[in-house]
Amino acid sequence: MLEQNHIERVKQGDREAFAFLVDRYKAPAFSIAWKILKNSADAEEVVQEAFIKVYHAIHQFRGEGKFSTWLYRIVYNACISQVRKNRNSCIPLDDVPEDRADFYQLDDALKQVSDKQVKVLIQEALDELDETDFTILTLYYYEDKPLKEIARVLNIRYSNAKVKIQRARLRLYEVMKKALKTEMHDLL
Amino acid sequence: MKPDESDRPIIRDIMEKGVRCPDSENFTENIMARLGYETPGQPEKVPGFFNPPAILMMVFLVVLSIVPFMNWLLGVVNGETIALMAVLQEIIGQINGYLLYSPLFLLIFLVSFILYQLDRFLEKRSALE
Repeated sequence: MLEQNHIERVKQGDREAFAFLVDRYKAPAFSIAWKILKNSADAEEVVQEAFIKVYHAIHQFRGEGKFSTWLYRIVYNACISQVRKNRNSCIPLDDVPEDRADFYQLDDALKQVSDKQVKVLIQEALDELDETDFTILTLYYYEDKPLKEIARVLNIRYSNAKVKIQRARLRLYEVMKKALKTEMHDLL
Repeated sequence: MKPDESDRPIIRDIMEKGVRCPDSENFTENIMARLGYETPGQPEKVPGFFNPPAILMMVFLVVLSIVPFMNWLLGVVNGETIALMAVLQEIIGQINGYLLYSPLFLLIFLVSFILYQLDRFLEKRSALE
């Protein structure tokens, strides 16, 4: 509701309202862009461009879907387009791990890591994920987006999104387990 | 099948810690500065008429139109300039000949121009989808 209010204010020319929206969505949008482009400067540029596009096209947004879904779709498409221009190669996808993910054990292991180190450790672990896994996990768990909207952002089918979130979840467990190898071993 | 929802708080916590912020501390300010004082909803200022093929065509047309009047415009000049002008006139005359007698030349130009505009249109549309 608050978001819709801000969007209406932006449509009426309120720049402060737009700055609020930028502040609200810059971190997840930048994270997705950073993950795809693998370059901080490029990611910042693409996300800034995306926000500027959104500002110019705000009247096209009729509120049928969520604003964030629209924004992430623009960011995602811009990143894919940039990758095509840069001819960057994507990281090949590994096989899906087969073992069951025990996130409670992972959580216990994380508690053994100092607060200072935990952010760096997690960021380094997430660097191991490919861009699709990272994007889908960010949207599903961080942004609480339903799978239907994630499918729209990534331009995939709903059934495909359901499969991908399962795979991404298992891959996350794998990379976190690898990063917390010592702590996990101590727990056993 | 949806993922196991009991893990959600743990994974959410991981993702919250893993999300990065832009390096630039003035990220929002930079965007606002780039927007200037434009009102929202206005189309982005992009060069429309002055695109590369149009500029090329205009330069060509200007040269094409002034070449026959070069002698009159420059008046009496030295031999070297006359020779240079003769070469230029010859080249322009050749191209002019192609334009007049070869529709293919014009067709190639038109097709490249249309493809360029189409590419820009599709790029813009896909960016906003």
